[in-house]
Amino acid sequence: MSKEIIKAEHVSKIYGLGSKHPYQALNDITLTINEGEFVCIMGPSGAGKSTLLNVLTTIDFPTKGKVFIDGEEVRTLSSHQVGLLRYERLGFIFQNFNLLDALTVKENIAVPLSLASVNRQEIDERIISIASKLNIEKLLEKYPYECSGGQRQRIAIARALINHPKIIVADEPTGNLDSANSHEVLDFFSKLNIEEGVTVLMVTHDPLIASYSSKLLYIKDGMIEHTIHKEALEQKDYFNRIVDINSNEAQSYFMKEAQ
Amino acid sequence: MGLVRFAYKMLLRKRKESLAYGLMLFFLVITTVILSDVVNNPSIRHGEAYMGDFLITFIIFIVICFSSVMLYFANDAFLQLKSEELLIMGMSGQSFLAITSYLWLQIMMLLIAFLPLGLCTGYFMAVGINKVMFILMHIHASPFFQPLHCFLYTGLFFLVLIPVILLIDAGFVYRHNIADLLHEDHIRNDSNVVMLHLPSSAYIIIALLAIVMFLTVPVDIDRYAMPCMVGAIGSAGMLVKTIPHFLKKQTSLRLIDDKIALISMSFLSEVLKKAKHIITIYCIATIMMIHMIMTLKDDPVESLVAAHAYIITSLLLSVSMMYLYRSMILKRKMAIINLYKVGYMLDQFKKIIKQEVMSFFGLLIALPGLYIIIMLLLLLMNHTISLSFVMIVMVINILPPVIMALMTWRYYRQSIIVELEEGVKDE
Repeated sequence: MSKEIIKAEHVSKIYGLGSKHPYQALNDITLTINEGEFVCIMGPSGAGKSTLLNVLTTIDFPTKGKVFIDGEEVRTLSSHQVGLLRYERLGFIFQNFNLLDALTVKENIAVPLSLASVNRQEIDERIISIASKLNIEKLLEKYPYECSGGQRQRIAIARALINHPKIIVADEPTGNLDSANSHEVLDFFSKLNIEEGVTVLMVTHDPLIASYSSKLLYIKDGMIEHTIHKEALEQKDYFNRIVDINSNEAQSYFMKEAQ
Repeated sequence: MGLVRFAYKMLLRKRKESLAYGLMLFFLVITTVILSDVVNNPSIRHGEAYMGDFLITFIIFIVICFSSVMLYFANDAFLQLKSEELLIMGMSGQSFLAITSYLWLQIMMLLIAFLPLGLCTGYFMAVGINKVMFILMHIHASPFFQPLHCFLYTGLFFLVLIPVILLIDAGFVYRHNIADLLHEDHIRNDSNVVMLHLPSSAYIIIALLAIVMFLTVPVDIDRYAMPCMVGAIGSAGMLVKTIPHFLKKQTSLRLIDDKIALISMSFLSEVLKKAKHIITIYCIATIMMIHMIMTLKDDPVESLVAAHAYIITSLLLSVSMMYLYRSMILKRKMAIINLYKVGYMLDQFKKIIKQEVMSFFGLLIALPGLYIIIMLLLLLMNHTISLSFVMIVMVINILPPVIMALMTWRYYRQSIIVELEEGVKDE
């Protein structure tokens, strides 16, 4: 049986607590993510997808409830320990790439290692290894603004993977990419997940992108409404189930409107 | 060691952004050296009957307070520009202490670079000022002599100021986690803290009240202190509340079909609202300091100190205002690129930029300037001051914002138009 890597117990997140209009983004969520799973979070806009992702991965903290990463309760860790946890076990990828235009591609990828004072030889070796996996060796001496959107996202992925994290955290990683680049990125995530056992936790709006996952959490109004497991399903059948859930949600909206 | 190297590398690579902050530190060092010299130089202090000892110390204290506030604004803009770096550091597993240390290291590096430069420049500028003052006050002494206290006080001032700035930066890092930094538009806490919580129309009444006060009180510079204060509050309120409110209404009602004015006025409204604190200080500083110069105009020493104080303050205000505007332009790039994608053309952007910058600095000159002109004209008509004095005051009032406007306009065009001309990369 796979080891639990992320666990949430009765997690709630309320923004603006104490203000006139507090907003409950997450409502009593309990879930477990096992090592090696590829989990996708879907849901309508404002459902709390990114908030859930943030709360599960130390970017944000829950108002109520507990989050465990690798058995450690995040709230009990010091700022230094949270930093160490991020450095050693998490790799973040966001829609906007978040690269520094003042640094070359190589320097951007090296940032986590440079900050951790890793020696130059090891940095070079790791960069060459990850760059060849992502097919960006020729870009290393360029600057991010000289690269296309797809290339920039691959650079951001390289930076996220440079520490060999156990979990990849991706919030709409294909949001700024065209279809070909999106599938390239997702193929890479799948490969990492299957071949290297890296856990992937991803937020997306797109059912086709979500069909690369092994488990889908459909979230609505801060609560998990549906959980679908891919298991033995083909990607196409899994995709159809994801589309069904999305369309059922849309249908229920129109039914409510008709009433 | 990795952190120090990274801080140094980023400071060097993003030197354009860091330069303005460094310049602010540089000007602050010069200001402190010059003013410490005026206070501590024995030749000036015992040169002649020196009645305004307390007043001069007070003026200098006010200027140093202003300068510290300007440094605070520069620091704030510096932090806004650092958000991407701080975000990446957070994502790379750096703790609160490491991220704070990164900012501290960069500030200390800037200080190491600009402190000696500021001390040297300050010394030579103080020599020049001493020369002028010695001639005016008929003092026979070497202008090159500056007491050790002068540099000691500068050091002490920075010893107090820098820890405060470092604490502010630590507070910024503490308050902003990765989620906040990801949505950098929300970083700036836009609380509605203006001087007074009044409806926007109330500032029109205050502004008019100041004019009525000027016209009804007897013509006497001492009696103009209150109308000046009311005018400063009125003009600041008009600039940061009434005009943005008016522009908001106009853009949604009348300017909706005017492609140029719709965008330029929306941008103008945004700048006025975001720069509200510095605009408020600008209005109060210009009106009150010109009043002070005129109050002290019969005393050569005091009026010289007041004039120096005014020049230094307006210089620092100009640099701060420009730095703030620059940071807003950098954040606005994406919005402009999106407008370009939906059909705006380069020539239209040129017009938008011109209209926005001219309107902003035009308002900045006109509103506080109105009270200065009224005051000067009333005194001129009463033969209290000469026409040449009026001209000098007007020039020193208008020149810094005009230079600032030209520099901002040039930077705006360079950073937006040039980039668009080179072609927008499709993301």
